Parts: sequence; structure tokens; C-alpha cells
Amino acid sequence: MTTTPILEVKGLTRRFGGLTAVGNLDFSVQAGEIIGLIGPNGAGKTTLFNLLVGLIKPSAGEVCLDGQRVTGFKPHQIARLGMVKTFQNVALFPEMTVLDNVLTGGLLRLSLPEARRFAGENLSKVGMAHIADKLAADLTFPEKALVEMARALCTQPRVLLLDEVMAALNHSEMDQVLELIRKLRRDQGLTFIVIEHHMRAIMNLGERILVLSFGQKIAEGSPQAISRNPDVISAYLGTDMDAEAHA
Amino acid sequence: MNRKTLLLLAALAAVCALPWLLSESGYLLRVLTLLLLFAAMAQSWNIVGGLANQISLGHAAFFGLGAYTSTILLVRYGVSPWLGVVAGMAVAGAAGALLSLPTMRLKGHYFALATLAFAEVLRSIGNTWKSVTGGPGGISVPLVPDAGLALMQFSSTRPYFYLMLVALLASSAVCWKISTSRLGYELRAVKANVDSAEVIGIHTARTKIVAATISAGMMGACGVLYAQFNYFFDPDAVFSLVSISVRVALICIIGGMGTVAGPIIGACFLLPLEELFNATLSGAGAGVSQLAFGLILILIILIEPRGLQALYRRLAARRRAP
Amino acid sequence: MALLQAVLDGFMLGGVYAVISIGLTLVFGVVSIVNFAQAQFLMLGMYVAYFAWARLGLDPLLGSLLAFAVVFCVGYLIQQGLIRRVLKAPEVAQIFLTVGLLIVLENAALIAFGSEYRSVQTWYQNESLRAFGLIVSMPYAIAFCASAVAGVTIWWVLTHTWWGRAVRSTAQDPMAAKLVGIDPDRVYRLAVGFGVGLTAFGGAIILPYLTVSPSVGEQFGVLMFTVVVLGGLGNVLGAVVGGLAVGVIQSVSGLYLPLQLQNLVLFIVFIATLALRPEGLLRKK
Repeated sequence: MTTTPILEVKGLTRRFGGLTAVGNLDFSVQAGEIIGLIGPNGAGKTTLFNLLVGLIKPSAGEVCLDGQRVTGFKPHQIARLGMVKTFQNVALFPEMTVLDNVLTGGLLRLSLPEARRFAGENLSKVGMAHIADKLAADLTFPEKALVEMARALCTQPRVLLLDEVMAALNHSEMDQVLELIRKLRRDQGLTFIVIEHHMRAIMNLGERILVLSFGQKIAEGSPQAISRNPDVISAYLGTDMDAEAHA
Repeated sequence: MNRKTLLLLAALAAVCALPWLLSESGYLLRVLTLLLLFAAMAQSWNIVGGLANQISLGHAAFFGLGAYTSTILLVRYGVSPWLGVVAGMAVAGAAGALLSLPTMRLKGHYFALATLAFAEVLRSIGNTWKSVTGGPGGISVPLVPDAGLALMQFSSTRPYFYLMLVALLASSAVCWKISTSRLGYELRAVKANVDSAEVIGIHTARTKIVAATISAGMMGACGVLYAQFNYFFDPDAVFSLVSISVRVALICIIGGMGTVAGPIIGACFLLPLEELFNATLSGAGAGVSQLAFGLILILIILIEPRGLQALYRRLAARRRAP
Repeated sequence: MALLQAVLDGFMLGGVYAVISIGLTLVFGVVSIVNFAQAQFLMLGMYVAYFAWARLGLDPLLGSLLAFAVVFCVGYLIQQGLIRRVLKAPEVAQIFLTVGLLIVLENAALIAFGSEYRSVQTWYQNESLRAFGLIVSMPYAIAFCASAVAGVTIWWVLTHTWWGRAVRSTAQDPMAAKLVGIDPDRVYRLAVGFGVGLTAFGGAIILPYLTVSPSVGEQFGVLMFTVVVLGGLGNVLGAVVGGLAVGVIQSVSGLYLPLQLQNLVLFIVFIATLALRPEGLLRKK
């Protein structure tokens, strides 16, 4: 018996004027999978995330979350149904403390005191508990990215979309985040789609990789298959994928 | 009971004693009574202006709606002003909710403009709908000798002082409660980044509507109190851009937007200053004290638009680091 | 027939509204500030033209040119002294600076000129033209023609003079304008002066059929903003279209609706445009 995929995308398209940012995308994700999403800059990865969480409406196509059509739903409705994303340029609330930022995520399903407690737990999980009282505007970029991840975790999502959350991390920090993602999947059954430019991270983390180029899906498969795929290599022409993978 | 609470209670006690130290219907007590009312109005503005950072230049709309609703009900149907407060809050609150719909995505200058236009259109309707509002000739709360509490009408200023004090305490409590509650967090999130707030599950539209409704309702209640205190008003007075909307916003901004103390500090600064100008300059002719008000406004904006609390912090920091 | 007359009247009025509002949209387009005090410059222009008529015997049409010149200088100085200081400040500061200016100007006028209503007498005030069963009152017609001339002049200045192009490019991209040698500060001063001067000009040409008092700005404030919102803030052609539209809407609604609802109609148009199409009804240029 096949189980319903937790996320299913059919023919998803988004046009901006004459430009097709995302074209006729089809893919599905099973619960508990960790999917890597890669592609050159401008490939439409962040646009795809924005479509999935409802920040922008598709020009065509469908998004189904756990069997339910959520195409055209508002972001807060999709968050309630269990899908949340982080922002590539980090979108914390700058004049609130780290703890307050994170607890706003918890308000979706918890009372204020419960959200505060849960926020503390999630901050510890991402290793940012020591800066709980700092103002979000005063954080470094990698700190902000992790705090935003903690905030997203507070919404108790089932599908978490991470947009370059490891961008400014060094290797050991990156390993910690990779371990965290695996742990969350193991303990809570969370499903992840992760956009990353660090090839090493993606190849180690993702069980299945989706490659986008100019809004089209050009390849889908295991990390090994992807790194040998000629279409993928030519899309990345100019970047030394092997060198990055072994960096 | 910690030191801060003790200080606050002492201050409260002092304020309560004030009316008995001043002549019971004198000028000074009247000024202080209005100060309390304007501080309460500024607290209402604070919810939308301070917590959500939506600069409204049209709060007079809700003030006037409250005043007219309760007074018309009183004059035509003999409805008690206490019920009038409820009715005024309902009408004003509904107007606030209604206005928040088309202004949902507006920010900054555009939002200010839309709210200003709303108050102006109500002012012009008030001036032209003579059959209902009495037009530019205004409307009066009927004077009933020995009226007392039941009709919210008193023969001296003292009871009004306490009425306004209660209003200020109530509005401050509402503001404080919101600011420390879920709604407060949601408002601050929406203020900082709407998209980000939506993505983590905050129903940003509902948050804005709720805040607008509460703010407008509170302002409407203040309008009722004003009507009962002043006995007479006209559309140009209660829907006034400068005397109501701008003044209330300015009080909140000077005192510190988004803080519960802000409106109180702002009122204590601005209103006595205005009275000073009125007292010394009105002799010089019409418009002089208002001109001074406008000049003060410009000066404040140029020196420290974030208000007295921020100015104090700036000066304190400068003294610490020579 | 009454409808046609109303449309004609509205069109005439609308032409004037357009010229008055171009100034507002220009200021926003260049310095990105909504000038809440704009209508006060209309009042100032009216007073300049009034005193030019009362003291010098100048017809308001000529007085309008003087009004433009005088208020241009005022606007230039205000940009230099005040607006410039809040260009990078939080919006709160920008909003309340021009609101403060509104208060100062209206009360300065009250102190200087007193509150009495004043009006001019011109030979054409009570004349009217008749054609095709329609009546056009002379002051309306003359004001409309003056507006049309002004409109064409503005268009020509913005598209064919160096200055006009400098204004447009600074409005679009101040950094790029700097790179080609344009001094944005100078452009801002000229643009604000020009913008408020235009509104003053508009005030002067309607003096023949209105009375001036320090509070005359209040009648036009929201109206100007409605025009500008309809046309798109910053869009000069839009201000023309918006002006005509507002004139016609106002006139036609005056035909069918009681007084209290006329302003409501305009407000609904205003708020609907802001809500549904904040960039204005015209396509972005």
C-alpha cells in the first residue's frame, strides 16, 4: 500500500511578466525524507519555497500537503497545516529579543507561557540558548539563521523548508546543523527540503536531490547520480562541483 | 511589594488628592482633567501607532463618532450616557474595523493619508448632515440640574477629573495588557516583517483588524466622555485634524510610542506647554498659540522624533561618554 | 442635458484640479515625501494674487505668475531648511514635519491676514459663454485655459529641458543621477519649489470664483490627494487624468446626491484606489 506523500507538487508554474521563474514542476516527498534542492543562482529555488508556503500564488499547478490541496492558501493557513520556511536573507524581528522572536513561532499552537518555554527548548536545540536575551538586530548572520530555524521549529511543523541556513557557517558548525536536522527527522519525523550551496553539506545530508535550472527540474536522484549527471554538470558550468564536494 | 509599585501607588494617591487641593471648578483643575482625557486618547492611539507602528492621522474620526453617537442617543431617545459609552465604542470600533480593510496593505505616508481622509470626510458629513448632527452649529448635551452620576453630568469639575482618571487607568491597563499578551507579540511581529509573521502562522490581517477595532473603540469612549464634560461640540471640534488627531499622535510620539508610560509622559509635557502658550500668547491674537504649537512640533521632529524617552537616553549616553 | 452640463462643469474644474495637483505629485515623485501641507501653498498663492490685485491692480491671471514665483522661492527655502533634514529620517518624522508645516502656514496666514474672507472683482466674473445649450461661466473657462497652458508648459519643461530631464532621472535613481553630474540636492530644491509654486499658481487662477481665507486649504487638501492617488503618486500625466476625473465625479455626484454624500463618493474612490491599485489607475510610465 502506497502512503500519501506528505508533499506533492503537480505542474507548479509561476510566471512574472515574460519570465518563467518556475515551470511545470512535478515532484513528491514522503514523510521523513530529507530532500536537497540545488541549482545555480536564479534557478527558482527560493521562488519555489515562496510558492509552497503561500507567499506568492502560482500561475498554474497544485500543491498538496498530506493529501490536502493548499494551492492559493495564505501562509498562516499553510503554517497551521504544518509547512513553514526560513528566509534566505533571514527575516527575524530586529527590535525584539532572540527569545521573543522564537516564541512568536510558538504562538501558533501554544499559549504565551508555553510558547516561551518551548522557545527556550528550541533555542537550546540549535545551540543559541546563550544569546536568548540579545536583540535580534545585534546578532551575526549565522546566529540569525539558526535563531530563525528555532523559531520555525516552534511552529511544530511537519515539513520544514530551510533556505541556505548554513550559508555563513564554518565546517564544525555546519556539521552540528546537519546532525540537528538528522536528529529532528529521527525523533520527530520531520520532513526537510533544504536549499544549500555547500555541495559537501547537501551531498552528505540529502537522500534525494532535486536540481533546478531556470525554473525547470533538470534532474532528480541520489547524490551520487546527481553528481555524475551531465545536465547538472553543464548547468553548473563554471563551478567546480568536484572541488566543492570535497572541500 | 517592590519599590516601583510603591512609587506608582504613591503617585496615584497624589493624583487622587489633587482635586481637593485645587478650587473645584477652577481653570487649573479643568486643564488637568483634559490632560487625563488626552492621555487616555493617546493610549488608544498607541495601540495602532505605537505597537503596530501605523501612523494614524485620523483618530479624530473615532473620537467624533463616539461623541455624536452617545449625544444623539441621549438627545433623541433619552439613552443614558453610560449606555452611550457602549454604543459609542461599538460604532467607533466598527468604523475602525471597517477602515482597516482597505488600509490593510498600506504603510507609512499612505496609511496616514488614508486615515486623514477618513476623518475629513466624516467632518464634512458632520457639517452637512444637519438633520442628524445639527451641522456646523453643533450639538449640546442637555443640562439637567442635579443630574449626577446616572446621567454622567456633574456640577463641578472634580467628579469629571476622577472620571477621566478612571478612563486613563483603564486605557493604560488595556494597552499594557495587549502589549504583554499574544496580541502584543503578534502586533510587534507584524510591525517588523509582515511576510515573516505570516509564514510562522500569524493571521496578520486578523491581528491588524483586532488592533484597529480596540484602538478605535477606546477612542470612541473618550469621545463620549468629552461630550459629557464639554456639553457642547461641533464637527470641526471633534473631527479636528490638528486639535485631536495630530495632538493625540504627537502626545504619544513625544512620550514614547509603544510604551505604556509614553502617552502619560507626553500629555504631561505637551498640554501644560500648550496652556502656557495659550495663556501668554492668546493676547497677541488668534492663531499665535497654534503657530507656536506648529513650531514646537517641527522643532521636536528635527531634534528627536522618537520622543522624550529616546532623547533622555541619548543625552544620558552622551554624558557617560565624554 | 443637466448631466452634460455637469460633466462640462466638472471637466472645467478638473483641469484646474489637475494643475493644482501636479505640484503635489511632483514633490512626491522627486523627494518621496507626501507633503501634507501642500494645500497651504494653494492658500498662499491665492493671497499673493489677491494682494497683487488689491494693491497693484493686477488681474489674478497675471497675479498667478507672481504667485508661482513667490511660492517657488518659499518652497525652495523650505526644502533647503526643513525637508532636506528629514529625507533620511524615520517616516514618523517626515509625516509630522509637513503636518507641522501645515499648522505653521495656516496660522501664520491667520496672524498676518486675519480671518476674514476676501474676494476679487474681475470684469469676467459674471460673464458666461453659451453654446449648444450649455453654459460655461467665464472664470471657469479662463481658469481652465490657464491650466491647459500651464499643463502644456510643464510637459514641455519636463521632457525638453535639461532641468526637466534632471528631475525625472533624479526621481528614478538619485545615485545614477549623481554619476552623470546632477546634484540631487539642487534638483530637490528646484522640484519642491516648482511643485508648491504650481499649486500656488493653481490657487491664484481660481481666485476669481472663490474667496480666500487662511482655512481655504482645508477644502482642497483631501481633493488634491484624491487626484494624486487616482493618477498614481509621482505620475504627472496621472495627475491630469486624475484631476479631470475628480472634477467630473464631483460635479456629477452633485447632481444626483445630497451634499453629505458627495464627499463620501470621492472618499470611496480615493480609498478604493489606494486599496486596490495603489500605483494609480494609469500604467506606470
